[in-house]
Amino acid sequence: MSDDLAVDVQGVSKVFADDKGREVHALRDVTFQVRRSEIVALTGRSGCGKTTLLRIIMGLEHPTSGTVKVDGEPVHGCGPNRGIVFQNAELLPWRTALANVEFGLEARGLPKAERRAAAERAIELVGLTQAANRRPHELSGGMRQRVGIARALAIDPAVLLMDEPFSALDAQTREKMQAELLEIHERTGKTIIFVSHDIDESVLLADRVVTLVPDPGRVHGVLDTAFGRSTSIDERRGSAEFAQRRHELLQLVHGREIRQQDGVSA
Amino acid sequence: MTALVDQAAPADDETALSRKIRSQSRSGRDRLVTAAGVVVLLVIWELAARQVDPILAAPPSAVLKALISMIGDGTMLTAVWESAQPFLTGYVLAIVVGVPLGLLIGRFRVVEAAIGWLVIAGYAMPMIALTPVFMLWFGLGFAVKAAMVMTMTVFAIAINTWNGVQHVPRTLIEVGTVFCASQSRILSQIVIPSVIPSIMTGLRIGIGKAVVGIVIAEFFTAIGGVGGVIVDAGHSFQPDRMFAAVVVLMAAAVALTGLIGLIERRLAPWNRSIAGGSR
Repeated sequence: MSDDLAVDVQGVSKVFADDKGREVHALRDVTFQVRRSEIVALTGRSGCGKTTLLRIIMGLEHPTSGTVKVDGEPVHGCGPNRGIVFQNAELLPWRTALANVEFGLEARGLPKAERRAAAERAIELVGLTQAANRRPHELSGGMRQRVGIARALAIDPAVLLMDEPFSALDAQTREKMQAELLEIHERTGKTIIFVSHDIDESVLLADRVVTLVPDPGRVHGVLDTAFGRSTSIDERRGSAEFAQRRHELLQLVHGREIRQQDGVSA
Repeated sequence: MTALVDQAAPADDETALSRKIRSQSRSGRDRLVTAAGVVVLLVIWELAARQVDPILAAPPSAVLKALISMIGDGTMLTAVWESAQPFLTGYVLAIVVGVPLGLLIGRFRVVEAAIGWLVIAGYAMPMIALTPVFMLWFGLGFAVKAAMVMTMTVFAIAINTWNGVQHVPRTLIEVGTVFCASQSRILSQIVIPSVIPSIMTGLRIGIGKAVVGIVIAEFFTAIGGVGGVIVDAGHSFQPDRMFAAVVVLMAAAVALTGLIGLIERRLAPWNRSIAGGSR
Protein backbone atom coordinates (compact mmCIF):
# COMPACT_ATOMS: atom_id res chain seq x y z
CA MET A 1 0.00 0.00 0.00
CA SER A 2 2.58 2.55 1.07
CA ASP A 3 4.76 1.52 -1.90
CA ASP A 4 2.11 2.95 -4.12
CA LEU A 5 1.97 6.29 -2.30
CA ALA A 6 4.04 9.18 -3.59
CA VAL A 7 2.69 11.80 -1.21
CA ASP A 8 0.90 11.27 2.08
CA VAL A 9 -0.58 14.32 3.81
CA GLN A 10 -1.93 13.44 7.27
CA GLY A 11 -3.92 15.83 9.44
CA VAL A 12 -2.00 18.93 8.44
CA SER A 13 -2.97 22.17 10.18
CA LYS A 14 -1.34 25.54 9.87
CA VAL A 15 -2.01 28.42 12.24
CA PHE A 16 -0.58 31.86 11.55
CA ALA A 17 -0.64 34.87 13.83
CA ASP A 18 -1.97 37.95 12.04
CA ASP A 19 -0.82 41.55 12.60
CA LYS A 20 -2.86 41.87 15.76
CA GLY A 21 -1.61 38.59 17.13
CA ARG A 22 -4.87 36.75 16.53
CA GLU A 23 -4.70 33.17 15.37
CA VAL A 24 -5.65 32.52 11.77
CA HIS A 25 -6.33 28.95 10.75
CA ALA A 26 -4.92 28.72 7.25
CA LEU A 27 -5.36 24.96 7.17
CA ARG A 28 -7.24 22.61 9.46
CA ASP A 29 -6.75 18.87 9.50
CA VAL A 30 -5.98 18.39 5.82
CA THR A 31 -5.56 14.75 4.78
CA PHE A 32 -5.10 13.31 1.29
CA GLN A 33 -2.88 10.91 -0.59
CA VAL A 34 -1.34 10.99 -4.01
CA ARG A 35 -0.44 7.77 -5.76
CA ARG A 36 2.64 7.29 -7.87
CA SER A 37 2.43 8.77 -11.37
CA GLU A 38 -0.82 10.50 -10.51
CA ILE A 39 -1.58 14.10 -11.41
CA VAL A 40 -3.43 15.86 -8.61
CA ALA A 41 -4.71 19.43 -8.68
CA LEU A 42 -5.23 21.51 -5.54
CA THR A 43 -7.91 24.07 -6.20
CA GLY A 44 -10.27 26.40 -4.42
CA ARG A 45 -11.15 30.06 -4.01
CA SER A 46 -8.52 32.52 -2.86
CA GLY A 47 -7.78 32.22 0.82
CA CYS A 48 -8.54 28.50 0.95
CA GLY A 49 -4.94 27.69 1.79
CA LYS A 50 -4.03 25.79 -1.38
CA THR A 51 -0.75 27.62 -1.81
CA THR A 52 0.09 27.26 1.89
CA LEU A 53 -0.56 23.53 1.56
CA LEU A 54 1.74 23.27 -1.44
CA ARG A 55 4.42 25.29 0.36
CA ILE A 56 4.23 22.86 3.27
CA ILE A 57 4.79 19.95 0.87
CA MET A 58 7.67 21.92 -0.70
CA GLY A 59 9.20 22.28 2.76
CA LEU A 60 9.07 26.09 2.68
CA GLU A 61 6.56 26.18 5.56
CA HIS A 62 6.23 23.94 8.57
CA PRO A 63 2.81 22.61 9.54
CA THR A 64 1.59 23.51 13.02
CA SER A 65 0.52 19.91 13.35
CA GLY A 66 0.25 16.86 11.15
CA THR A 67 2.79 15.21 8.86
CA VAL A 68 3.69 15.14 5.21
CA LYS A 69 5.54 12.19 3.72
CA VAL A 70 7.00 12.09 0.25
CA ASP A 71 8.11 8.67 -0.94
CA GLY A 72 7.63 7.40 2.59
CA GLU A 73 10.02 10.00 4.05
CA PRO A 74 8.78 12.76 6.35
CA VAL A 75 9.25 16.23 4.89
CA HIS A 76 11.61 18.50 6.80
CA GLY A 77 12.62 21.41 4.59
CA CYS A 78 13.97 20.89 1.12
CA GLY A 79 14.70 17.53 -0.43
CA PRO A 80 15.80 15.99 -3.71
CA ASN A 81 12.59 13.95 -3.90
CA ARG A 82 10.63 17.09 -4.84
CA GLY A 83 11.15 19.26 -7.90
CA ILE A 84 9.55 22.67 -7.64
CA VAL A 85 8.11 24.83 -10.41
CA PHE A 86 7.32 28.42 -9.46
CA GLN A 87 4.47 30.56 -10.68
CA ASN A 88 6.68 32.98 -12.63
CA ALA A 89 9.44 30.50 -13.41
CA GLU A 90 11.80 32.51 -11.14
CA LEU A 91 14.90 31.95 -13.21
CA LEU A 92 18.21 33.57 -12.34
CA PRO A 93 18.40 36.37 -14.92
CA TRP A 94 22.20 36.29 -15.19
CA ARG A 95 22.30 32.62 -16.14
CA THR A 96 21.57 30.99 -19.47
CA ALA A 97 18.65 28.59 -19.75
CA LEU A 98 21.00 25.63 -19.45
CA ALA A 99 22.85 27.09 -16.45
CA ASN A 100 19.50 27.73 -14.78
CA VAL A 101 18.57 24.08 -15.24
CA GLU A 102 21.91 23.14 -13.69
CA PHE A 103 21.20 25.15 -10.55
CA GLY A 104 19.48 22.38 -8.60
CA LEU A 105 22.21 19.92 -9.55
CA GLU A 106 25.00 22.20 -8.31
CA ALA A 107 23.65 22.21 -4.77
CA ARG A 108 23.83 18.42 -5.00
CA GLY A 109 27.57 18.61 -5.60
CA LEU A 110 27.49 16.60 -8.83
CA PRO A 111 30.58 16.74 -11.06
CA LYS A 112 30.35 19.30 -13.81
CA ALA A 113 30.14 16.86 -16.70
CA GLU A 114 27.30 14.90 -15.10
CA ARG A 115 25.50 18.12 -14.28
CA ARG A 116 25.76 19.34 -17.83
CA ALA A 117 24.51 16.02 -19.22
CA ALA A 118 21.50 15.89 -16.88
CA ALA A 119 20.63 19.53 -17.64
CA GLU A 120 20.86 18.90 -21.37
CA ARG A 121 18.52 15.93 -21.07
CA ALA A 122 16.00 18.00 -19.12
CA ILE A 123 16.20 20.88 -21.56
CA GLU A 124 15.62 18.50 -24.42
CA LEU A 125 12.62 17.04 -22.63
CA VAL A 126 10.95 20.46 -22.65
CA GLY A 127 12.00 21.07 -26.26
CA LEU A 128 14.36 23.98 -25.64
CA THR A 129 17.68 22.61 -26.87
CA GLN A 130 17.85 25.38 -29.49
CA ALA A 131 17.51 28.11 -26.86
CA ALA A 132 19.75 26.53 -24.21
CA ASN A 133 22.28 29.34 -24.29
CA ARG A 134 19.86 32.22 -24.16
CA ARG A 135 19.26 34.22 -21.03
CA PRO A 136 15.78 34.53 -19.50
CA HIS A 137 15.17 38.04 -20.86
CA GLU A 138 15.67 36.65 -24.35
CA LEU A 139 12.98 34.00 -23.83
CA SER A 140 9.19 34.24 -24.06
CA GLY A 141 7.05 33.63 -20.97
CA GLY A 142 6.21 30.12 -22.12
CA MET A 143 9.86 29.30 -22.78
CA ARG A 144 10.84 30.63 -19.36
CA GLN A 145 8.35 28.34 -17.70
CA ARG A 146 9.69 25.41 -19.74
CA VAL A 147 13.11 26.18 -18.30
CA GLY A 148 11.48 26.24 -14.85
CA ILE A 149 10.01 22.80 -15.48
CA ALA A 150 13.33 21.50 -16.82
CA ARG A 151 15.13 22.81 -13.72
CA ALA A 152 12.71 20.85 -11.54
CA LEU A 153 12.96 17.69 -13.67
CA ALA A 154 16.76 17.80 -13.86
CA ILE A 155 17.17 16.66 -10.27
CA ASP A 156 15.02 13.63 -11.14
CA PRO A 157 12.56 14.08 -8.26
CA ALA A 158 9.83 11.63 -7.29
CA VAL A 159 7.25 14.40 -7.30
CA LEU A 160 6.84 17.58 -9.32
CA LEU A 161 5.23 20.40 -7.32
CA MET A 162 3.87 23.29 -9.35
CA ASP A 163 2.43 26.53 -7.98
CA GLU A 164 -0.04 27.95 -10.52
CA PRO A 165 2.52 27.19 -13.19
CA PHE A 166 0.64 28.58 -16.18
CA SER A 167 -1.38 31.39 -14.62
CA ALA A 168 1.05 34.08 -15.74
CA LEU A 169 0.90 33.02 -19.39
CA ASP A 170 -1.44 34.23 -22.12
CA ALA A 171 -4.33 31.95 -23.04
CA GLN A 172 -2.77 30.43 -26.15
CA THR A 173 0.59 29.73 -24.56
CA ARG A 174 -1.21 28.30 -21.55
CA GLU A 175 -3.10 25.77 -23.67
CA LYS A 176 0.09 24.74 -25.39
CA MET A 177 1.91 24.33 -22.10
CA GLN A 178 -0.94 22.29 -20.66
CA ALA A 179 -0.72 19.84 -23.56
CA GLU A 180 3.03 19.76 -23.12
CA LEU A 181 2.77 18.98 -19.42
CA LEU A 182 0.62 15.94 -20.21
CA GLU A 183 3.22 14.86 -22.74
CA ILE A 184 6.04 15.26 -20.22
CA HIS A 185 4.00 13.30 -17.73
CA GLU A 186 3.47 10.53 -20.22
CA ARG A 187 7.18 10.32 -20.97
CA THR A 188 8.53 10.59 -17.42
CA GLY A 189 5.69 9.12 -15.38
CA LYS A 190 6.39 11.68 -12.63
CA THR A 191 3.87 12.27 -9.90
CA ILE A 192 2.59 15.82 -10.26
CA ILE A 193 0.81 18.04 -7.76
CA PHE A 194 -0.18 21.46 -9.02
CA VAL A 195 -2.07 24.36 -7.53
CA SER A 196 -4.55 26.10 -9.80
CA HIS A 197 -7.46 28.45 -9.41
CA ASP A 198 -8.50 27.57 -12.94
CA ILE A 199 -11.40 25.09 -12.93
CA ASP A 200 -10.89 24.07 -16.57
CA GLU A 201 -7.19 23.50 -16.12
CA SER A 202 -7.77 21.36 -13.04
CA VAL A 203 -10.31 19.15 -14.79
CA LEU A 204 -8.32 18.86 -18.01
CA LEU A 205 -4.95 17.98 -16.51
CA ALA A 206 -5.55 16.22 -13.22
CA ASP A 207 -6.53 12.65 -12.48
CA ARG A 208 -8.05 13.88 -9.23
CA VAL A 209 -8.84 17.34 -7.96
CA VAL A 210 -8.62 18.13 -4.26
CA THR A 211 -10.87 21.10 -3.52
CA LEU A 212 -10.33 23.28 -0.51
CA VAL A 213 -12.68 25.80 1.06
CA PRO A 214 -11.60 28.74 3.25
CA ASP A 215 -12.08 29.75 6.91
CA PRO A 216 -10.43 27.55 7.96
CA GLY A 217 -8.77 26.02 4.91
CA ARG A 218 -9.89 22.42 4.67
CA VAL A 219 -10.55 19.71 2.13
CA HIS A 220 -14.11 19.90 0.92
CA GLY A 221 -14.06 17.11 -1.59
CA VAL A 222 -11.90 15.08 -3.92
CA LEU A 223 -13.19 14.78 -7.45
CA ASP A 224 -12.11 11.93 -9.69
CA THR A 225 -11.50 13.51 -13.06
CA ALA A 226 -9.28 10.96 -14.78
CA PHE A 227 -9.63 10.74 -18.51
CA GLY A 228 -7.95 7.86 -20.32
CA ARG A 229 -4.20 8.35 -20.29
CA SER A 230 -3.90 8.73 -24.02
CA THR A 231 -6.82 11.10 -24.45
CA SER A 232 -5.47 14.30 -25.93
CA ILE A 233 -6.25 17.58 -24.31
CA ASP A 234 -8.44 18.65 -27.23
CA GLU A 235 -10.46 15.45 -27.04
CA ARG A 236 -10.84 16.04 -23.32
CA ARG A 237 -12.04 19.56 -23.81
CA GLY A 238 -14.64 18.49 -26.38
CA SER A 239 -16.02 15.59 -24.35
CA ALA A 240 -19.29 15.42 -22.43
CA GLU A 241 -17.41 14.25 -19.31
CA PHE A 242 -15.46 17.48 -19.31
CA ALA A 243 -18.60 19.60 -19.09
CA GLN A 244 -20.03 17.34 -16.40
CA ARG A 245 -16.86 17.32 -14.25
CA ARG A 246 -16.37 20.99 -14.71
CA HIS A 247 -19.84 21.56 -13.35
CA GLU A 248 -19.25 19.24 -10.43
CA LEU A 249 -15.97 20.91 -9.57
CA LEU A 250 -17.60 24.34 -9.59
CA GLN A 251 -20.15 23.07 -7.09
CA LEU A 252 -17.38 21.77 -4.85
CA VAL A 253 -15.29 24.91 -5.06
CA HIS A 254 -18.25 26.95 -3.93
CA GLY A 255 -18.66 24.69 -0.95
CA ARG A 256 -21.77 22.86 -2.15
CA GLU A 257 -22.21 19.09 -2.24
CA ILE A 258 -22.54 17.17 -5.46
CA ARG A 259 -25.79 15.33 -6.00
CA GLN A 260 -24.53 12.03 -7.38
CA GLN A 261 -21.92 10.91 -4.89
CA ASP A 262 -19.59 9.16 -7.29
CA GLY A 263 -16.05 10.33 -7.10
CA VAL A 264 -16.61 12.31 -3.96
CA SER A 265 -15.00 11.44 -0.69
CA ALA A 266 -14.67 13.50 2.47
CA MET B 1 7.58 46.65 -3.81
CA THR B 2 7.44 46.01 -7.50
CA ALA B 3 10.41 45.83 -9.81
CA LEU B 4 9.41 49.17 -11.26
CA VAL B 5 9.65 50.88 -7.92
CA ASP B 6 13.01 49.23 -7.32
CA GLN B 7 14.32 50.77 -10.46
CA ALA B 8 12.99 54.15 -9.47
CA ALA B 9 14.03 54.02 -5.83
CA PRO B 10 17.57 55.37 -6.11
CA ALA B 11 16.54 57.84 -8.80
CA ASP B 12 16.10 60.76 -6.45
CA ASP B 13 19.81 60.79 -5.98
CA GLU B 14 20.82 59.43 -9.31
CA THR B 15 21.94 62.75 -10.59
CA ALA B 16 20.83 64.16 -13.88
CA LEU B 17 24.35 63.47 -15.02
CA SER B 18 24.52 59.76 -14.34
CA ARG B 19 21.05 58.93 -15.54
CA LYS B 20 21.31 61.04 -18.65
CA ILE B 21 24.56 59.44 -19.65
CA ARG B 22 23.20 56.00 -19.09
CA SER B 23 20.13 56.61 -21.17
CA GLN B 24 22.00 58.40 -23.94
CA SER B 25 20.38 56.89 -26.95
CA ARG B 26 22.39 55.90 -29.97
CA SER B 27 19.98 57.18 -32.59
CA GLY B 28 21.54 59.56 -35.09
CA ARG B 29 18.73 62.08 -34.81
CA ASP B 30 19.19 62.40 -31.06
CA ARG B 31 22.90 62.99 -31.51
CA LEU B 32 22.22 65.72 -34.02
CA VAL B 33 19.83 67.42 -31.60
CA THR B 34 22.40 67.17 -28.81
CA ALA B 35 25.12 68.62 -31.04
CA ALA B 36 22.83 71.47 -32.07
CA GLY B 37 22.08 72.16 -28.41
CA VAL B 38 25.77 72.37 -27.58
CA VAL B 39 26.44 74.70 -30.49
CA VAL B 40 23.56 77.02 -29.57
CA LEU B 41 24.72 77.18 -25.96
CA LEU B 42 28.32 77.92 -27.00
CA VAL B 43 27.20 80.67 -29.38
CA ILE B 44 25.03 82.32 -26.71
CA TRP B 45 27.86 82.07 -24.18
CA GLU B 46 30.36 83.49 -26.71
CA LEU B 47 28.12 86.45 -27.62
CA ALA B 48 27.18 87.19 -24.02
CA ALA B 49 30.71 86.91 -22.65
CA ARG B 50 32.08 89.33 -25.25
CA GLN B 51 29.79 92.04 -23.83
CA VAL B 52 31.25 91.66 -20.34
CA ASP B 53 34.44 92.84 -18.69
CA PRO B 54 37.06 90.09 -19.35
CA ILE B 55 37.86 90.05 -15.64
CA LEU B 56 34.37 88.68 -14.93
CA ALA B 57 33.76 86.17 -17.72
CA ALA B 58 35.46 84.45 -20.62
CA PRO B 59 33.91 83.39 -23.92
CA PRO B 60 34.37 79.75 -25.03
CA SER B 61 36.99 80.75 -27.57
CA ALA B 62 39.15 82.28 -24.82
CA VAL B 63 38.55 79.26 -22.56
CA LEU B 64 39.66 76.95 -25.34
CA LYS B 65 42.76 79.04 -25.92
CA ALA B 66 43.57 78.97 -22.20
CA LEU B 67 42.97 75.21 -22.10
CA ILE B 68 45.33 74.61 -25.00
CA SER B 69 48.05 76.74 -23.48
CA MET B 70 47.61 75.06 -20.07
CA ILE B 71 47.92 71.66 -21.68
CA GLY B 72 50.88 72.89 -23.68
CA ASP B 73 52.87 74.16 -20.68
CA GLY B 74 52.00 71.09 -18.61
CA THR B 75 50.00 72.96 -15.94
CA MET B 76 46.82 71.02 -16.63
CA LEU B 77 48.37 67.57 -16.77
CA THR B 78 50.24 68.16 -13.52
CA ALA B 79 47.04 69.38 -11.88
CA VAL B 80 44.96 66.45 -13.18
CA TRP B 81 47.56 63.95 -12.05
CA GLU B 82 47.73 65.63 -8.64
CA SER B 83 43.95 65.33 -8.28
CA ALA B 84 43.63 61.90 -9.81
CA GLN B 85 45.80 60.12 -7.25
CA PRO B 86 43.88 61.03 -4.09
CA PHE B 87 40.64 60.78 -6.08
CA LEU B 88 41.23 57.18 -7.13
CA THR B 89 42.62 56.22 -3.73
CA GLY B 90 39.57 57.61 -1.94
CA TYR B 91 37.14 56.14 -4.47
CA VAL B 92 38.64 52.66 -4.35
CA LEU B 93 38.70 52.77 -0.54
CA ALA B 94 35.03 53.77 -0.60
CA ILE B 95 34.21 50.73 -2.74
CA VAL B 96 36.29 48.39 -0.61
CA VAL B 97 34.52 49.59 2.55
CA GLY B 98 31.10 50.55 1.19
CA VAL B 99 30.13 47.39 -0.68
CA PRO B 100 30.80 44.88 2.12
CA LEU B 101 29.25 47.32 4.60
CA GLY B 102 26.06 47.51 2.51
CA LEU B 103 25.95 43.73 2.07
CA LEU B 104 26.31 43.16 5.82
CA ILE B 105 23.68 45.74 6.78
CA GLY B 106 21.26 44.38 4.20
CA ARG B 107 21.77 40.75 5.04
CA PHE B 108 21.87 40.86 8.84
CA ARG B 109 19.26 42.55 10.98
CA VAL B 110 21.67 42.96 13.89
CA VAL B 111 24.15 44.88 11.78
CA GLU B 112 21.34 47.01 10.38
CA ALA B 113 20.14 47.86 13.88
CA ALA B 114 23.69 48.55 15.04
CA ILE B 115 25.04 50.79 12.27
CA GLY B 116 22.26 51.37 9.73
CA TRP B 117 21.50 54.76 11.28
CA LEU B 118 25.15 55.76 10.99
CA VAL B 119 25.19 55.13 7.25
CA ILE B 120 21.95 57.07 6.77
CA ALA B 121 23.27 59.94 8.86
CA GLY B 122 26.56 59.94 7.00
CA TYR B 123 24.75 59.97 3.69
CA ALA B 124 22.45 62.82 4.66
CA MET B 125 25.11 64.99 6.30
CA PRO B 126 26.90 67.70 4.31
CA MET B 127 30.46 66.43 4.49
CA ILE B 128 31.85 69.90 3.94
CA ALA B 129 31.08 70.52 7.62
CA LEU B 130 33.80 68.05 8.51
CA THR B 131 36.52 69.84 6.54
CA PRO B 132 38.11 71.63 9.53
CA VAL B 133 38.34 68.50 11.62
CA PHE B 134 39.64 66.52 8.63
CA MET B 135 42.41 69.09 8.27
CA LEU B 136 43.30 68.52 11.92
CA TRP B 137 43.37 64.76 11.47
CA PHE B 138 44.88 64.36 8.04
CA GLY B 139 46.95 67.50 7.55
CA LEU B 140 47.04 69.41 4.30
CA GLY B 141 48.34 66.90 1.78
CA PHE B 142 47.38 63.77 -0.06
CA ALA B 143 45.72 62.08 2.94
CA VAL B 144 43.10 64.73 3.57
CA LYS B 145 42.03 64.71 -0.08
CA ALA B 146 41.71 60.93 -0.20
CA ALA B 147 39.84 60.93 3.12
CA MET B 148 37.45 63.60 1.88
CA VAL B 149 36.71 61.70 -1.34
CA MET B 150 36.23 58.49 0.59
CA THR B 151 33.81 59.89 3.17
CA MET B 152 31.85 61.68 0.46
CA THR B 153 31.49 58.47 -1.54
CA VAL B 154 31.36 55.56 0.87
CA PHE B 155 27.86 56.22 2.20
CA ALA B 156 26.30 56.46 -1.27
CA ILE B 157 27.84 53.13 -2.20
CA ALA B 158 26.88 51.46 1.09
CA ILE B 159 23.29 52.73 0.99
CA ASN B 160 22.72 51.58 -2.59
CA THR B 161 24.20 48.16 -1.89
CA TRP B 162 22.05 47.87 1.24
CA ASN B 163 18.99 48.87 -0.74
CA GLY B 164 19.86 46.28 -3.38
CA VAL B 165 20.14 43.48 -0.84
CA GLN B 166 16.76 44.39 0.60
CA HIS B 167 15.19 44.16 -2.83
CA VAL B 168 16.53 40.78 -3.83
CA PRO B 169 13.27 39.03 -4.78
CA ARG B 170 12.16 36.75 -1.95
CA THR B 171 11.07 34.10 -4.44
CA LEU B 172 14.60 33.89 -5.88
CA ILE B 173 15.90 33.12 -2.39
CA GLU B 174 13.17 30.49 -2.15
CA VAL B 175 14.44 28.93 -5.37
CA GLY B 176 17.76 28.47 -3.58
CA THR B 177 16.01 27.08 -0.51
CA VAL B 178 13.83 24.50 -2.28
CA PHE B 179 16.77 23.24 -4.32
CA CYS B 180 18.70 22.72 -1.07
CA ALA B 181 21.37 25.34 -1.75
CA SER B 182 23.51 26.22 1.28
CA GLN B 183 23.46 29.72 2.80
CA SER B 184 26.83 30.51 1.24
CA ARG B 185 25.66 29.29 -2.16
CA ILE B 186 22.50 31.41 -1.88
CA LEU B 187 24.70 34.41 -1.04
CA SER B 188 27.19 33.88 -3.86
CA GLN B 189 24.84 32.59 -6.57
CA ILE B 190 21.66 34.54 -5.88
CA VAL B 191 22.09 37.51 -3.55
CA ILE B 192 25.33 39.02 -4.85
CA PRO B 193 24.48 38.76 -8.57
CA SER B 194 21.08 40.31 -7.79
CA VAL B 195 22.76 43.20 -6.01
CA ILE B 196 25.32 44.01 -8.74
CA PRO B 197 23.04 46.52 -10.53
CA SER B 198 22.44 48.37 -7.24
CA ILE B 199 26.15 48.38 -6.46
CA MET B 200 26.83 49.85 -9.89
CA THR B 201 24.19 52.52 -9.26
CA GLY B 202 26.05 53.35 -6.05
CA LEU B 203 29.34 53.56 -7.94
CA ARG B 204 27.81 55.87 -10.55
CA ILE B 205 26.33 58.20 -7.93
CA GLY B 206 29.62 57.91 -6.08
CA ILE B 207 31.56 59.46 -8.98
CA GLY B 208 29.60 62.69 -8.66
CA LYS B 209 30.07 62.71 -4.90
CA ALA B 210 33.77 61.97 -5.21
CA VAL B 211 34.28 64.88 -7.61
CA VAL B 212 32.62 67.20 -5.08
CA GLY B 213 34.84 65.69 -2.40
CA ILE B 214 38.10 66.30 -4.24
CA VAL B 215 37.14 69.87 -5.16
CA ILE B 216 36.17 70.74 -1.59
CA ALA B 217 39.43 69.27 -0.37
CA GLU B 218 41.47 71.20 -2.91
CA PHE B 219 39.59 74.44 -2.23
CA PHE B 220 39.87 74.44 1.51
CA THR B 221 42.88 72.38 2.49
CA ALA B 222 45.97 72.03 0.35
CA ILE B 223 45.30 74.24 -2.62
CA GLY B 224 46.46 72.10 -5.50
CA GLY B 225 45.26 69.89 -8.29
CA VAL B 226 42.43 70.95 -10.58
CA GLY B 227 40.57 72.51 -7.64
CA GLY B 228 43.67 74.52 -6.84
CA VAL B 229 43.89 75.78 -10.43
CA ILE B 230 40.27 77.01 -10.16
CA VAL B 231 40.97 78.85 -6.89
CA ASP B 232 44.20 80.41 -8.18
CA ALA B 233 42.63 81.51 -11.46
CA GLY B 234 39.67 82.98 -9.62
CA HIS B 235 41.86 84.92 -7.24
CA SER B 236 43.98 86.29 -10.06
CA PHE B 237 41.03 87.35 -12.22
CA GLN B 238 41.67 84.88 -15.01
CA PRO B 239 38.21 83.51 -15.78
CA ASP B 240 39.43 81.81 -18.96
CA ARG B 241 41.82 79.59 -16.99
CA MET B 242 39.19 79.02 -14.34
CA PHE B 243 36.59 77.85 -16.83
CA ALA B 244 39.18 75.69 -18.58
CA ALA B 245 39.74 73.81 -15.31
CA VAL B 246 35.98 73.53 -14.72
CA VAL B 247 35.54 72.08 -18.19
CA VAL B 248 38.27 69.52 -17.48
CA LEU B 249 36.54 68.52 -14.23
CA MET B 250 33.23 68.21 -16.01
CA ALA B 251 34.70 66.11 -18.80
CA ALA B 252 36.43 63.84 -16.30
CA ALA B 253 33.21 63.30 -14.31
CA VAL B 254 31.23 62.55 -17.46
CA ALA B 255 33.90 60.16 -18.75
CA LEU B 256 34.14 58.29 -15.44
CA THR B 257 30.38 58.00 -15.11
CA GLY B 258 30.23 56.69 -18.67
CA LEU B 259 32.95 54.19 -17.86
CA ILE B 260 31.00 52.89 -14.87
CA GLY B 261 27.93 52.56 -17.10
CA LEU B 262 29.97 50.56 -19.59
CA ILE B 263 31.23 48.23 -16.87
CA GLU B 264 27.67 47.86 -15.59
CA ARG B 265 26.45 46.80 -19.00
CA ARG B 266 29.20 44.20 -19.20
CA LEU B 267 28.56 42.89 -15.68
CA ALA B 268 24.77 42.96 -15.67
CA PRO B 269 23.47 42.96 -19.24
CA TRP B 270 20.16 41.47 -18.09
CA ASN B 271 19.35 44.49 -15.94
CA ARG B 272 19.20 46.94 -18.82
CA SER B 273 16.86 44.79 -20.83
CA ILE B 274 14.56 44.23 -17.86
CA ALA B 275 14.42 47.92 -17.05
CA GLY B 276 13.80 48.69 -20.70
CA GLY B 277 16.24 51.59 -20.86
CA SER B 278 15.07 54.63 -22.77
CA ARG B 279 14.16 54.75 -26.37
